[in-house]
Amino acid sequence: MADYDNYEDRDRAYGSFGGGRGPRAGGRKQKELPTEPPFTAYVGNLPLNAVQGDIDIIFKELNMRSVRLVRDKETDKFKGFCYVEFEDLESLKEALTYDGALLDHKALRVDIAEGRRQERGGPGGGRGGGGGGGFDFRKDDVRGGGGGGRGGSRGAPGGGGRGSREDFDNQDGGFRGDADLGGGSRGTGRPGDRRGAPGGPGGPGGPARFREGAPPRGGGGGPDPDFREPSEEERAQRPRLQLKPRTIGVPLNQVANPESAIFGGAKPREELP
Amino acid sequence: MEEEGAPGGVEVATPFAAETYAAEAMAADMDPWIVFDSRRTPRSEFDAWLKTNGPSQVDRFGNEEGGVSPVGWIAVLGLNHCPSVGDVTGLQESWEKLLASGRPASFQTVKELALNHGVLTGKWLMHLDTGFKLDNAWECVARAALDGKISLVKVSPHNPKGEGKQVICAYNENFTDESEVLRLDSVIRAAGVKCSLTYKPDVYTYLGIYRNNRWKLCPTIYESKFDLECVPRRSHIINRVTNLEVT
Repeated sequence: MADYDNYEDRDRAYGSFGGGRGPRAGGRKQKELPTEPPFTAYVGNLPLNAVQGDIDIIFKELNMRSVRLVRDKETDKFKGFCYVEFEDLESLKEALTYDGALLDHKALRVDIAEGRRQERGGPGGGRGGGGGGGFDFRKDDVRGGGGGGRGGSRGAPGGGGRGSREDFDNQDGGFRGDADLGGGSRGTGRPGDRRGAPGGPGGPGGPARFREGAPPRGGGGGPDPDFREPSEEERAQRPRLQLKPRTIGVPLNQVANPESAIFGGAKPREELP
Repeated sequence: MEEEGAPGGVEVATPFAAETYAAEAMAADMDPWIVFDSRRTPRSEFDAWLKTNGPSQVDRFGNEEGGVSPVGWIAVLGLNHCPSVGDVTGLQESWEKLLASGRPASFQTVKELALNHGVLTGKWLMHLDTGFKLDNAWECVARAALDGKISLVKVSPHNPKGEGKQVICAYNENFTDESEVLRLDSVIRAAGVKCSLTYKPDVYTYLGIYRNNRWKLCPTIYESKFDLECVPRRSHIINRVTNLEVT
Protein backbone atom coordinates (compact mmCIF):
# COMPACT_ATOMS: atom_id res chain seq x y z
CA MET A 1 0.00 0.00 0.00
CA ALA A 2 2.61 2.45 0.95
CA ASP A 3 5.54 0.99 -0.87
CA TYR A 4 6.04 4.10 -2.84
CA ASP A 5 6.68 5.92 0.36
CA ASN A 6 10.19 4.68 0.02
CA TYR A 7 10.84 6.67 -3.05
CA GLU A 8 12.32 9.59 -1.36
CA ASP A 9 12.25 13.03 -2.78
CA ARG A 10 14.82 12.71 -5.54
CA ASP A 11 16.86 15.70 -4.55
CA ARG A 12 17.72 14.30 -1.20
CA ALA A 13 17.61 10.62 -1.65
CA TYR A 14 20.69 10.24 -3.76
CA GLY A 15 22.80 12.81 -2.08
CA SER A 16 24.21 10.48 0.50
CA PHE A 17 25.17 7.87 -2.05
CA GLY A 18 27.21 10.05 -4.30
CA GLY A 19 24.32 10.13 -6.70
CA GLY A 20 25.88 7.59 -9.00
CA ARG A 21 22.60 6.29 -10.35
CA GLY A 22 20.39 9.19 -9.56
CA PRO A 23 18.33 10.66 -12.33
CA ARG A 24 20.32 13.86 -12.24
CA ALA A 25 23.76 12.37 -12.45
CA GLY A 26 23.11 9.40 -14.66
CA GLY A 27 20.03 10.79 -16.29
CA ARG A 28 20.76 9.40 -19.69
CA LYS A 29 20.81 5.86 -18.55
CA GLN A 30 17.96 3.76 -19.86
CA LYS A 31 15.58 2.86 -17.11
CA GLU A 32 14.29 -0.67 -16.96
CA LEU A 33 10.62 -1.43 -16.59
CA PRO A 34 9.86 -3.37 -13.42
CA THR A 35 8.84 -6.98 -13.91
CA GLU A 36 6.96 -7.22 -10.62
CA PRO A 37 5.09 -4.80 -8.38
CA PRO A 38 5.29 -2.05 -7.41
CA PHE A 39 4.64 -0.49 -10.81
CA THR A 40 5.33 3.08 -9.91
CA ALA A 41 5.76 6.15 -12.06
CA TYR A 42 7.36 9.46 -11.21
CA VAL A 43 5.11 12.24 -12.46
CA GLY A 44 6.65 15.69 -12.50
CA ASN A 45 6.32 19.25 -13.76
CA LEU A 46 2.85 19.40 -12.28
CA PRO A 47 1.16 22.71 -11.54
CA LEU A 48 1.85 23.67 -7.94
CA ASN A 49 -1.84 23.84 -7.15
CA ALA A 50 -2.45 20.30 -8.35
CA VAL A 51 -4.38 18.00 -6.06
CA GLN A 52 -4.90 14.27 -6.10
CA GLY A 53 -8.04 14.67 -8.18
CA ASP A 54 -5.98 16.17 -11.00
CA ILE A 55 -3.74 13.13 -11.07
CA ASP A 56 -6.80 10.89 -11.09
CA ILE A 57 -8.10 12.75 -14.12
CA ILE A 58 -4.83 12.50 -16.04
CA PHE A 59 -4.65 8.75 -15.66
CA LYS A 60 -8.38 8.10 -15.51
CA GLU A 61 -8.17 5.33 -18.12
CA LEU A 62 -5.51 3.40 -16.22
CA ASN A 63 -5.58 1.09 -13.23
CA MET A 64 -4.22 3.33 -10.53
CA ARG A 65 -3.54 1.97 -7.09
CA SER A 66 -2.34 5.01 -5.21
CA VAL A 67 -0.92 8.49 -5.54
CA ARG A 68 1.54 10.23 -3.30
CA LEU A 69 2.02 13.94 -3.81
CA VAL A 70 5.42 14.95 -2.53
CA ARG A 71 5.43 17.91 -0.17
CA ASP A 72 8.16 19.93 1.41
CA LYS A 73 8.94 18.56 4.82
CA GLU A 74 9.21 21.99 6.38
CA THR A 75 6.53 24.02 4.70
CA ASP A 76 4.23 21.20 3.56
CA LYS A 77 4.03 22.88 0.17
CA PHE A 78 3.48 20.63 -2.83
CA LYS A 79 6.74 20.25 -4.72
CA GLY A 80 5.25 19.71 -8.16
CA PHE A 81 5.78 15.99 -8.47
CA CYS A 82 4.24 12.81 -7.27
CA TYR A 83 4.53 9.05 -7.40
CA VAL A 84 1.72 7.03 -8.87
CA GLU A 85 1.53 3.32 -8.30
CA PHE A 86 -0.39 1.26 -10.84
CA GLU A 87 -2.02 -2.11 -10.49
CA ASP A 88 -0.27 -3.61 -13.48
CA LEU A 89 2.63 -3.16 -15.84
CA GLU A 90 0.38 -2.29 -18.77
CA SER A 91 -0.92 0.74 -16.92
CA LEU A 92 2.59 1.88 -16.06
CA LYS A 93 3.60 1.49 -19.71
CA GLU A 94 0.61 3.51 -20.85
CA ALA A 95 1.37 6.16 -18.24
CA LEU A 96 4.84 6.58 -19.72
CA THR A 97 3.29 7.64 -23.02
CA TYR A 98 1.99 10.73 -21.19
CA ASP A 99 5.53 12.05 -20.93
CA GLY A 100 5.64 15.38 -22.74
CA ALA A 101 1.87 15.87 -22.94
CA LEU A 102 0.50 19.24 -21.95
CA LEU A 103 -1.02 19.94 -18.56
CA ASP A 104 -1.78 23.50 -17.60
CA HIS A 105 0.55 24.78 -20.36
CA LYS A 106 3.45 22.74 -19.06
CA ALA A 107 4.92 19.52 -20.45
CA LEU A 108 4.18 16.70 -18.05
CA ARG A 109 7.13 14.52 -17.11
CA VAL A 110 6.49 10.84 -16.58
CA ASP A 111 9.24 8.36 -15.83
CA ILE A 112 9.75 4.99 -14.29
CA ALA A 113 10.19 5.66 -10.58
CA GLU A 114 13.45 4.36 -9.35
CA GLY A 115 15.14 4.08 -6.06
CA ARG A 116 13.89 1.18 -4.10
CA ARG A 117 15.44 -1.68 -5.96
CA GLN A 118 18.98 -0.45 -5.97
CA GLU A 119 18.73 0.79 -2.42
CA ARG A 120 18.30 -2.61 -0.96
CA GLY A 121 21.41 -3.77 0.72
CA GLY A 122 23.10 -0.52 -0.10
CA PRO A 123 25.51 1.14 2.27
CA GLY A 124 24.18 1.83 5.70
CA GLY A 125 21.14 -0.27 5.15
CA GLY A 126 19.98 1.66 2.15
CA ARG A 127 17.73 4.60 2.54
CA GLY A 128 17.52 4.30 6.25
CA GLY A 129 20.90 5.90 6.60
CA GLY A 130 20.38 8.57 4.02
CA GLY A 131 16.86 9.69 4.58
CA GLY A 132 16.35 9.04 8.21
CA GLY A 133 19.32 11.09 9.16
CA GLY A 134 22.70 9.68 10.01
CA PHE A 135 22.67 10.38 13.68
CA ASP A 136 19.37 8.79 14.36
CA PHE A 137 20.42 5.23 14.01
CA ARG A 138 23.28 5.55 16.40
CA LYS A 139 20.76 6.11 19.12
CA ASP A 140 18.62 3.34 17.84
CA ASP A 141 16.70 0.92 19.86
CA VAL A 142 18.30 -2.46 20.26
CA ARG A 143 16.00 -3.93 17.69
CA GLY A 144 16.31 -1.00 15.45
CA GLY A 145 19.03 -2.31 13.24
CA GLY A 146 16.61 -4.33 11.23
CA GLY A 147 14.96 -1.24 9.99
CA GLY A 148 17.23 -1.32 7.04
CA GLY A 149 16.18 0.52 3.99
CA ARG A 150 12.67 1.36 4.94
CA GLY A 151 13.31 4.22 7.25
CA GLY A 152 13.93 7.23 5.12
CA SER A 153 10.91 8.50 3.43
CA ARG A 154 8.86 11.11 5.17
CA GLY A 155 10.40 9.83 8.34
CA ALA A 156 11.87 13.06 9.47
CA PRO A 157 8.81 15.05 10.49
CA GLY A 158 6.90 12.15 11.89
CA GLY A 159 9.55 10.14 13.61
CA GLY A 160 13.14 11.19 13.17
CA GLY A 161 13.48 14.86 13.76
CA ARG A 162 10.56 15.34 16.01
CA GLY A 163 11.06 12.19 18.02
CA SER A 164 14.59 12.94 18.99
CA ARG A 165 13.64 16.32 20.32
CA GLU A 166 10.50 15.32 22.08
CA ASP A 167 11.30 11.99 23.49
CA PHE A 168 7.86 11.42 24.87
CA ASP A 169 5.98 12.31 21.84
CA ASN A 170 4.93 8.76 21.63
CA GLN A 171 1.45 9.50 20.64
CA ASP A 172 2.51 11.24 17.53
CA GLY A 173 4.69 8.42 16.36
CA GLY A 174 2.02 5.91 17.04
CA PHE A 175 -0.76 7.60 15.21
CA ARG A 176 1.26 8.61 12.23
CA GLY A 177 2.35 5.08 11.72
CA ASP A 178 -1.15 3.90 11.02
CA ALA A 179 -2.10 2.37 7.74
CA ASP A 180 1.38 2.80 6.49
CA LEU A 181 3.41 -0.35 6.39
CA GLY A 182 6.38 1.38 4.94
CA GLY A 183 6.66 4.06 7.56
CA GLY A 184 9.59 2.47 9.27
CA SER A 185 11.12 5.36 11.02
CA ARG A 186 7.82 6.63 12.21
CA GLY A 187 7.54 3.48 14.19
CA THR A 188 4.65 2.28 16.17
CA GLY A 189 5.89 3.92 19.26
CA ARG A 190 5.64 1.01 21.65
CA PRO A 191 8.84 -0.98 21.83
CA GLY A 192 7.00 -4.01 23.08
CA ASP A 193 4.64 -4.16 20.17
CA ARG A 194 6.00 -6.88 18.00
CA ARG A 195 3.20 -6.64 15.54
CA GLY A 196 4.48 -3.28 14.51
CA ALA A 197 5.36 -2.44 10.97
CA PRO A 198 8.52 -4.16 9.77
CA GLY A 199 11.45 -2.25 11.03
CA GLY A 200 9.06 -0.02 12.83
CA PRO A 201 10.15 0.11 16.41
CA GLY A 202 13.62 1.01 15.27
CA GLY A 203 12.50 4.54 14.81
CA PRO A 204 13.32 7.04 17.44
CA GLY A 205 9.70 7.32 18.29
CA GLY A 206 10.20 4.89 21.15
CA PRO A 207 10.98 5.90 24.70
CA ALA A 208 14.43 7.12 25.52
CA ARG A 209 15.48 4.27 27.70
CA PHE A 210 15.47 1.91 24.79
CA ARG A 211 17.26 4.27 22.62
CA GLU A 212 20.39 5.14 24.49
CA GLY A 213 21.35 1.92 26.17
CA ALA A 214 22.10 -0.72 23.61
CA PRO A 215 25.03 -0.69 21.23
CA PRO A 216 24.15 0.05 17.63
CA ARG A 217 23.75 -2.78 15.24
CA GLY A 218 25.87 -1.29 12.56
CA GLY A 219 23.28 0.37 10.43
CA GLY A 220 21.11 -2.43 9.23
CA GLY A 221 23.47 -5.36 9.53
CA GLY A 222 22.18 -8.57 11.08
CA PRO A 223 18.49 -7.91 11.03
CA ASP A 224 16.33 -9.36 13.72
CA PRO A 225 14.15 -11.97 11.99
CA ASP A 226 11.04 -10.27 13.25
CA PHE A 227 11.89 -7.02 11.65
CA ARG A 228 13.67 -7.95 8.49
CA GLU A 229 12.47 -6.69 5.16
CA PRO A 230 9.75 -8.96 3.76
CA SER A 231 10.55 -10.53 0.41
CA GLU A 232 8.42 -9.82 -2.63
CA GLU A 233 6.69 -13.21 -2.28
CA GLU A 234 5.84 -12.61 1.34
CA ARG A 235 4.56 -9.23 0.44
CA ALA A 236 2.37 -10.72 -2.25
CA GLN A 237 0.95 -13.23 0.21
CA ARG A 238 -0.18 -10.61 2.63
CA PRO A 239 -3.93 -10.27 2.62
CA ARG A 240 -5.07 -7.12 0.90
CA LEU A 241 -7.30 -4.80 2.81
CA GLN A 242 -10.86 -5.52 1.80
CA LEU A 243 -13.61 -3.20 2.84
CA LYS A 244 -17.02 -4.74 3.24
CA PRO A 245 -20.04 -2.79 2.12
CA ARG A 246 -21.46 -0.39 4.64
CA THR A 247 -23.74 -2.10 7.12
CA ILE A 248 -25.28 0.96 8.71
CA GLY A 249 -28.13 2.31 6.66
CA VAL A 250 -28.57 5.79 8.02
CA PRO A 251 -25.80 8.34 7.69
CA LEU A 252 -23.77 8.48 10.87
CA ASN A 253 -23.43 12.21 10.86
CA GLN A 254 -27.07 12.96 10.53
CA VAL A 255 -26.95 15.52 13.28
CA ALA A 256 -24.03 17.37 11.80
CA ASN A 257 -25.00 20.40 9.85
CA PRO A 258 -23.10 20.42 6.56
CA GLU A 259 -23.53 24.17 6.36
CA SER A 260 -21.83 24.81 9.68
CA ALA A 261 -18.60 26.73 9.53
CA ILE A 262 -16.28 24.60 11.58
CA PHE A 263 -13.50 27.14 11.48
CA GLY A 264 -15.78 30.01 12.34
CA GLY A 265 -14.88 33.13 10.43
CA ALA A 266 -11.19 32.22 10.17
CA LYS A 267 -9.55 32.49 6.77
CA PRO A 268 -6.33 30.85 5.59
CA ARG A 269 -3.50 33.30 5.53
CA GLU A 270 -0.18 33.25 3.75
CA GLU A 271 2.80 32.86 6.06
CA LEU A 272 5.56 35.02 4.70
CA PRO A 273 9.07 34.25 5.82
CA MET B 1 16.61 19.53 -30.98
CA GLU B 2 14.50 19.96 -34.00
CA GLU B 3 16.07 17.96 -36.73
CA GLU B 4 15.40 14.59 -38.13
CA GLY B 5 19.10 14.10 -38.67
CA ALA B 6 20.43 11.20 -36.67
CA PRO B 7 20.79 12.97 -33.36
CA GLY B 8 23.67 13.19 -31.10
CA GLY B 9 26.87 13.52 -33.05
CA VAL B 10 29.68 15.41 -31.43
CA GLU B 11 28.90 19.09 -31.68
CA VAL B 12 31.79 20.48 -33.66
CA ALA B 13 32.42 24.17 -33.32
CA THR B 14 31.73 25.14 -36.91
CA PRO B 15 30.38 28.59 -37.61
CA PHE B 16 26.98 27.07 -38.40
CA ALA B 17 26.03 23.93 -36.57
CA ALA B 18 23.43 23.32 -39.27
CA GLU B 19 26.19 22.16 -41.57
CA THR B 20 27.28 19.53 -39.08
CA TYR B 21 23.71 18.30 -38.67
CA ALA B 22 23.25 18.19 -42.42
CA ALA B 23 26.41 16.14 -42.84
CA GLU B 24 25.32 13.69 -40.13
CA ALA B 25 21.89 13.32 -41.67
CA MET B 26 23.37 12.70 -45.08
CA ALA B 27 25.67 10.04 -43.65
CA ALA B 28 22.69 8.31 -42.01
CA ASP B 29 20.73 8.44 -45.26
CA MET B 30 23.56 6.80 -47.13
CA ASP B 31 24.18 3.99 -44.64
CA PRO B 32 22.07 0.83 -45.04
CA TRP B 33 18.47 1.02 -43.83
CA ILE B 34 16.43 -1.69 -42.19
CA VAL B 35 13.10 -1.60 -44.01
CA PHE B 36 9.77 -3.35 -43.63
CA ASP B 37 7.86 -2.89 -46.86
CA SER B 38 4.18 -3.57 -46.15
CA ARG B 39 3.46 -3.72 -49.87
CA ARG B 40 5.73 -6.75 -50.29
CA THR B 41 6.21 -8.45 -46.94
CA PRO B 42 3.42 -10.53 -45.38
CA ARG B 43 1.78 -8.83 -42.44
CA SER B 44 2.36 -11.90 -40.31
CA GLU B 45 6.07 -11.18 -40.28
CA PHE B 46 5.65 -7.72 -38.84
CA ASP B 47 5.65 -8.53 -35.12
CA ALA B 48 8.86 -10.52 -35.33
CA TRP B 49 10.46 -7.82 -37.45
CA LEU B 50 9.48 -5.15 -34.95
CA LYS B 51 10.90 -7.16 -32.08
CA THR B 52 14.21 -7.89 -33.79
CA ASN B 53 14.71 -4.30 -34.86
CA GLY B 54 13.72 -2.29 -31.79
CA PRO B 55 15.25 1.17 -32.27
CA SER B 56 16.73 1.21 -28.75
CA GLN B 57 18.66 -1.96 -29.56
CA VAL B 58 19.82 -1.42 -33.12
CA ASP B 59 23.24 0.23 -33.11
CA ARG B 60 23.84 3.14 -35.45
CA PHE B 61 27.41 2.05 -36.06
CA GLY B 62 26.98 -1.70 -36.04
CA ASN B 63 29.84 -3.84 -34.93
CA GLU B 64 32.78 -4.27 -37.24
CA GLU B 65 34.20 -7.32 -35.53
CA GLY B 66 30.86 -9.05 -35.33
CA GLY B 67 30.20 -8.27 -38.99
CA VAL B 68 27.17 -6.08 -38.20
CA SER B 69 26.96 -3.17 -40.60
CA PRO B 70 26.01 0.36 -39.59
CA VAL B 71 22.33 1.28 -39.80
CA GLY B 72 21.17 4.64 -41.11
CA TRP B 73 17.48 4.32 -40.38
CA ILE B 74 14.81 1.77 -39.52
CA ALA B 75 11.68 2.30 -41.64
CA VAL B 76 8.22 0.97 -42.39
CA LEU B 77 6.78 1.67 -45.83
CA GLY B 78 3.02 1.88 -45.66
CA LEU B 79 0.63 0.10 -48.03
CA ASN B 80 -0.01 3.34 -49.86
CA HIS B 81 3.62 4.38 -50.01
CA CYS B 82 4.72 5.72 -53.37
CA PRO B 83 8.06 7.43 -53.56
CA SER B 84 7.56 10.95 -54.88
CA VAL B 85 10.72 12.86 -54.33
CA GLY B 86 10.26 15.50 -57.02
CA ASP B 87 13.12 17.18 -58.81
CA VAL B 88 15.68 17.56 -56.06
CA THR B 89 18.55 18.45 -58.36
CA GLY B 90 16.51 21.20 -59.97
CA LEU B 91 15.50 22.42 -56.53
CA GLN B 92 19.09 22.67 -55.37
CA GLU B 93 20.14 24.52 -58.53
CA SER B 94 17.34 27.03 -58.10
CA TRP B 95 18.35 27.49 -54.49
CA GLU B 96 21.94 28.27 -55.48
CA LYS B 97 20.66 30.78 -58.02
CA LEU B 98 18.44 32.37 -55.41
CA LEU B 99 21.32 32.77 -53.00
CA ALA B 100 23.58 34.13 -55.74
CA SER B 101 20.96 36.69 -56.69
CA GLY B 102 21.05 38.11 -53.21
CA ARG B 103 17.31 37.76 -52.72
CA PRO B 104 16.47 36.98 -49.12
CA ALA B 105 15.80 33.36 -48.19
CA SER B 106 12.51 33.11 -46.33
CA PHE B 107 9.86 30.48 -45.77
CA GLN B 108 7.89 31.90 -48.69
CA THR B 109 10.77 31.71 -51.16
CA VAL B 110 11.67 28.19 -50.05
CA LYS B 111 8.04 27.15 -50.38
CA GLU B 112 7.95 28.62 -53.88
CA LEU B 113 10.98 26.58 -54.90
CA ALA B 114 9.44 23.45 -53.38
CA LEU B 115 6.20 23.95 -55.34
CA ASN B 116 8.10 24.62 -58.56
CA HIS B 117 10.11 21.42 -58.27
CA GLY B 118 7.48 19.18 -56.71
CA VAL B 119 9.46 18.57 -53.52
CA LEU B 120 6.44 18.64 -51.24
CA THR B 121 6.78 15.83 -48.71
CA GLY B 122 7.16 16.63 -45.04
CA LYS B 123 7.12 14.91 -41.68
CA TRP B 124 6.11 15.17 -38.07
CA LEU B 125 9.11 14.59 -35.82
CA MET B 126 9.12 13.18 -32.32
CA HIS B 127 12.23 13.12 -30.17
CA LEU B 128 12.14 10.52 -27.44
CA ASP B 129 14.43 9.01 -24.82
CA THR B 130 16.05 5.75 -25.81
CA GLY B 131 14.29 2.86 -24.09
CA PHE B 132 10.66 2.04 -23.56
CA LYS B 133 9.29 5.48 -24.45
CA LEU B 134 10.93 5.44 -27.85
CA ASP B 135 10.23 1.79 -28.65
CA ASN B 136 6.60 2.14 -27.65
CA ALA B 137 5.95 5.26 -29.74
CA TRP B 138 7.75 3.60 -32.63
CA GLU B 139 5.53 0.55 -32.38
CA CYS B 140 2.45 2.82 -32.40
CA VAL B 141 3.37 4.69 -35.59
CA ALA B 142 4.90 1.64 -37.27
CA ARG B 143 1.58 -0.18 -36.88
CA ALA B 144 -0.27 2.82 -38.25
CA ALA B 145 1.96 2.62 -41.32
CA LEU B 146 1.36 -1.11 -41.62
CA ASP B 147 -2.37 -0.39 -41.57
CA GLY B 148 -1.97 2.10 -44.38
CA LYS B 149 -2.68 5.17 -42.24
CA ILE B 150 0.78 6.68 -42.74
CA SER B 151 2.74 6.38 -45.98
CA LEU B 152 6.19 6.16 -44.42
CA VAL B 153 7.67 6.17 -40.93
CA LYS B 154 11.30 5.93 -39.93
CA VAL B 155 13.31 6.03 -36.72
CA SER B 156 16.98 6.67 -36.05
CA PRO B 157 18.88 3.75 -34.51
CA HIS B 158 20.59 3.98 -31.14
CA ASN B 159 23.74 6.07 -31.11
CA PRO B 160 25.88 5.06 -28.12
CA LYS B 161 27.86 8.30 -28.43
CA GLY B 162 24.67 10.31 -28.68
CA GLU B 163 22.72 12.30 -26.17
CA GLY B 164 20.17 9.65 -25.27
CA LYS B 165 17.39 10.73 -27.61
CA GLN B 166 16.31 9.29 -30.92
CA VAL B 167 13.94 10.67 -33.51
CA ILE B 168 10.89 9.24 -35.24
CA CYS B 169 9.62 10.75 -38.52
CA ALA B 170 6.09 10.23 -39.87
CA TYR B 171 5.64 11.45 -43.46
CA ASN B 172 2.88 12.95 -45.55
CA GLU B 173 2.73 13.99 -49.19
CA ASN B 174 2.29 17.73 -49.18
CA PHE B 175 3.49 20.17 -46.57
CA THR B 176 1.65 23.06 -48.22
CA ASP B 177 -1.69 21.36 -47.57
CA GLU B 178 -2.44 22.27 -43.98
CA SER B 179 -5.42 19.93 -43.63
CA GLU B 180 -3.20 17.02 -44.65
CA VAL B 181 -0.64 17.98 -42.03
CA LEU B 182 -3.33 18.20 -39.35
CA ARG B 183 -4.80 14.88 -40.40
CA LEU B 184 -1.45 13.18 -39.97
CA ASP B 185 -1.18 14.69 -36.49
CA SER B 186 -4.50 13.16 -35.53
CA VAL B 187 -3.44 9.77 -36.91
CA ILE B 188 -0.31 9.92 -34.75
CA ARG B 189 -2.37 10.93 -31.70
CA ALA B 190 -4.91 8.21 -32.36
CA ALA B 191 -2.03 5.73 -32.44
CA GLY B 192 -1.32 6.70 -28.82
CA VAL B 193 1.57 9.16 -29.06
CA LYS B 194 1.20 12.11 -26.66
CA CYS B 195 4.60 13.78 -26.71
CA SER B 196 5.17 17.10 -28.47
CA LEU B 197 5.76 17.01 -32.21
CA THR B 198 7.31 19.37 -34.73
CA TYR B 199 6.69 19.39 -38.45
CA LYS B 200 9.41 19.86 -41.01
CA PRO B 201 9.10 19.99 -44.81
CA ASP B 202 11.62 17.82 -46.65
CA VAL B 203 12.62 20.79 -48.77
CA TYR B 204 14.59 22.13 -45.81
CA THR B 205 16.38 18.83 -45.50
CA TYR B 206 17.32 18.76 -49.19
CA LEU B 207 18.61 22.31 -49.01
CA GLY B 208 20.64 21.55 -45.89
CA ILE B 209 18.63 24.00 -43.82
CA TYR B 210 18.89 22.67 -40.28
CA ARG B 211 18.57 24.51 -37.02
CA ASN B 212 21.08 27.29 -36.34
CA ASN B 213 21.43 27.98 -40.06
CA ARG B 214 22.90 31.12 -41.55
CA TRP B 215 19.54 32.35 -42.85
CA LYS B 216 17.95 32.14 -39.41
CA LEU B 217 15.15 30.07 -40.89
CA CYS B 218 13.25 27.85 -38.50
CA PRO B 219 13.10 24.52 -40.35
CA THR B 220 10.07 23.31 -38.40
CA ILE B 221 6.90 25.05 -39.48
CA TYR B 222 4.35 23.55 -37.06
CA GLU B 223 4.41 22.34 -33.50
CA SER B 224 1.84 20.11 -31.89
CA LYS B 225 1.24 19.65 -28.18
CA PHE B 226 -1.23 17.17 -26.86
CA ASP B 227 -3.48 18.80 -24.27
CA LEU B 228 -4.69 16.49 -21.53
CA GLU B 229 -7.21 18.99 -20.22
CA CYS B 230 -9.28 19.37 -23.37
CA VAL B 231 -12.38 17.20 -23.57
CA PRO B 232 -11.91 15.18 -25.65
CA ARG B 233 -8.15 15.37 -25.49
CA ARG B 234 -6.57 16.83 -28.60
CA SER B 235 -3.55 18.58 -30.07
CA HIS B 236 -2.85 22.29 -29.97
CA ILE B 237 -1.06 23.02 -33.21
CA ILE B 238 0.79 26.27 -33.77
CA ASN B 239 1.98 27.46 -37.15
CA ARG B 240 5.50 28.65 -36.40
CA VAL B 241 5.70 30.78 -39.52
CA THR B 242 2.64 32.87 -38.74
CA ASN B 243 2.74 32.17 -35.01
CA LEU B 244 -0.99 31.46 -35.10
CA GLU B 245 -2.80 28.66 -33.38
CA VAL B 246 -4.23 26.32 -36.01
CA THR B 247 -6.27 24.02 -33.79
